[in-house]
Amino acid sequence: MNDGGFFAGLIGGLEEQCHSEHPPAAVLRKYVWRRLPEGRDLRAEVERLLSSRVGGRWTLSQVSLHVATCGACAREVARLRAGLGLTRESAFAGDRPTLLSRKMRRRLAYSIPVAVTLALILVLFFLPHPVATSYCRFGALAM
Amino acid sequence: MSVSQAESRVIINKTAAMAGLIAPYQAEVVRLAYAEHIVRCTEQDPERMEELLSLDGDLEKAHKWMALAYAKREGDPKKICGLVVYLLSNYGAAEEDREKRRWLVRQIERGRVRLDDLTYELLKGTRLEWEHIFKLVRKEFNPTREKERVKRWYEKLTEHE
Repeated sequence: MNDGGFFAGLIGGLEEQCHSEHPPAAVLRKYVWRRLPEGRDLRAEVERLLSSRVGGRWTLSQVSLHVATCGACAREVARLRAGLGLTRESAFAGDRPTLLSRKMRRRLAYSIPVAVTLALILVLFFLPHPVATSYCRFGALAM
Repeated sequence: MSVSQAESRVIINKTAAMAGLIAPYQAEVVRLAYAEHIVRCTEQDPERMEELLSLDGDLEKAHKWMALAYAKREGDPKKICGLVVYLLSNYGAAEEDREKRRWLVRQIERGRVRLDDLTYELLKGTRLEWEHIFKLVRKEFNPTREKERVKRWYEKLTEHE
């Protein structure tokens, strides 16, 4: 990239660090399957990561930056990507182990309430009117 | 934050960095986290980020990341996302990770990876080429033009210094 070094020096890169806290195996699995939540506040996210007070709330960036600087976790992530009975190709959207794809789930999320509403309208429209019948019965009883 | 407040904050950060209270590592973590958020379109307003991005007193880097975020808001966000992906992939690590590169390129070519799947860890050392970036953002663009736009924003941010 010929830009006079404007972008070349922008990323210093991270060296391997000695971490006191590591994400649990379940969190690393979620990271590989891209199911970790996104942090809403970068400041809080980074402060927790740097002070090793992440606790049980690992976010995507926290795990990414931890794995980038932790040899043991990097090896575990590589193993998870390669193994667990799945091909490395399947770690992303196309083959996620879900019954329905994200697109289908989104479509269903919209179409189910619409279908239920339509069904209710139809049921109410075709239901026999109960008021007239009861009035007659009441009238008959009164006589 | 006024200019004088910002300047004094930078001086405090620089002093803390020199005293070893803030390691350059910590500042780099913040900037890389912000870069990830830019790629996944979850970044916070750049005007609120100056202090956090310059924890080690490196205002130049902070302003460059802010310039990327401003340029993203101004034009087509995907083009700037693509540029940041290229930067993380090519400058994020000194050594090339050939195995990861092969895998990631295969994912991109098969259309199985999206921008919001990407992290610094996944990109570093993969040395992606522009053709991969274009496939990833699903459009071709002129990288030089986007870089010039970022540089113009950087000049705007630094013109009063």
